[in-house]
Amino acid sequence: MGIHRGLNIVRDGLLFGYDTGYGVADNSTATRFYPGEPTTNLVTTNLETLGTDGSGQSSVGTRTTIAPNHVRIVDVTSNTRQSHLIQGLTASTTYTVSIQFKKVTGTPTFRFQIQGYNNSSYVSTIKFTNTAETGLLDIDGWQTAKWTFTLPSNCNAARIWWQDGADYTTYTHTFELKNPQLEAKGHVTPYVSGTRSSTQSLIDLKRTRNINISGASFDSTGQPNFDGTDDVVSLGTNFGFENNSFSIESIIKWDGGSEDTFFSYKDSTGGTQKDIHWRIYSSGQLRFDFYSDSINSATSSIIADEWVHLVVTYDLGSDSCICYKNGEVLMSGSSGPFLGNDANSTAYIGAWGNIQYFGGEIPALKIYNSAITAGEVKQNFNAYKNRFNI
Amino acid sequence: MRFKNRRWLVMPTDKIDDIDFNQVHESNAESLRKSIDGTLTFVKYEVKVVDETYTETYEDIETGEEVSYTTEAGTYGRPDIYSEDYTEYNHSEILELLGTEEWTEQID
Repeated sequence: MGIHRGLNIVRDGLLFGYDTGYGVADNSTATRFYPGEPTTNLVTTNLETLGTDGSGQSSVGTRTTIAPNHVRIVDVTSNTRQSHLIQGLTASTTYTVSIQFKKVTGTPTFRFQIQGYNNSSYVSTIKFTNTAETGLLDIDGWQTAKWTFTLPSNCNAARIWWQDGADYTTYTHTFELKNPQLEAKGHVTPYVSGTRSSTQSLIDLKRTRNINISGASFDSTGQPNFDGTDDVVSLGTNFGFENNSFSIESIIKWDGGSEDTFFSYKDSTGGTQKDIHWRIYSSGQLRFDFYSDSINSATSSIIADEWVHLVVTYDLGSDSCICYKNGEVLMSGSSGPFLGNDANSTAYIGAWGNIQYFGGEIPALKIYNSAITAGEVKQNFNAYKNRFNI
Repeated sequence: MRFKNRRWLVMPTDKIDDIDFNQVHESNAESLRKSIDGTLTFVKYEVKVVDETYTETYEDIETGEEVSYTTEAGTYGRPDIYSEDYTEYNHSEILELLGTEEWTEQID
């Protein structure tokens, strides 16, 4: 028997899955299965290749290279700053600059000096932060310093100074810097060298499908969200539901909209039982529909702004469809099977094709090629409940 | 309040070619949602709202002089396609609009 690391979830029959919080994921931290929001890092020059100066101080500290794009600065009554002119930017556009910082000795101080340029000509100062404004604290371990700014309308470039102090003076301390990043966003995302595309952002737990999240938008924490207007993620075709057993599992938090579909599987040719959708009505009633052959919960089964773990299983042999909420049976019936053609059928997260857009969050979703058992549903629920405080 | 800084701009579909998709959340023309009759669409983007004019002062490291910069009150971050000819909505307003028969086909 192999050793599984991470969540203790059912793996037999797992066909597809994603989890934006697998491990620990936030604005600064990538995980194996959620490297982070798509972005392009506009910093193309490694830290160790940048020139250094003392920011007006006669004594410049020592910079040593630990690894590519990873340096250590040692200041002894000195000051050390490095700068990078980044061209090809767009006027009046919002950018976020970031760098990873680790205190080694002494009180950490650091700031970004951000200047607007027109090509290679200096235009104006945009912002000189202080240490607190970058978000850095006097703690051990890696942190991310960051600042968001808007490039002035008469600029098309920015010079970023990575400076070790919040004023023009000398310091005695040691720290490390790595992974500088500038991106055209209003918030920081985990570091990437080059570009993280819409298919490199969220990774299928089975690594068999590309998840293209170009139709989703992201909140200030870098998590994909669904605002109920036009966010939808297409997962592609051929999920094997055609005249077959299956299970779909999802963690959702619903905003309380009027008629919100969070998963659908549509045969483009249309027809009876060729159009699965799983949706919530404004009353809080949950429906799993083969269209039109559905099972329905009582109203108020789903409460707005509350995390809920949902699983639907369809067993072809017994022609039974069961929906579980937080590990317990919520509703069941003999609806199904799916009669669409898998080759013509596309799975969507966050909408019923191009209608009924979901408002809320869907951080995890998994699809199995069998009807998982009640015990397996419970196992998966137990794997998530603490994380979502369900 | 979710999406406090997000705005939606509703415009005629014949303006789609003028949209710079680097400036909005939508990724391309194919990803745009359209009204039922196909005449309208929208884009969404994040704005920064400055309620009151403020001034910041820095020492300019090129000249050594103290320089002040004033940021006027206003809304920043709108895409080039923005025009007062089109209506801009906040989140609750756009959800209300999209719930109308002009945008949403009623299906059981």
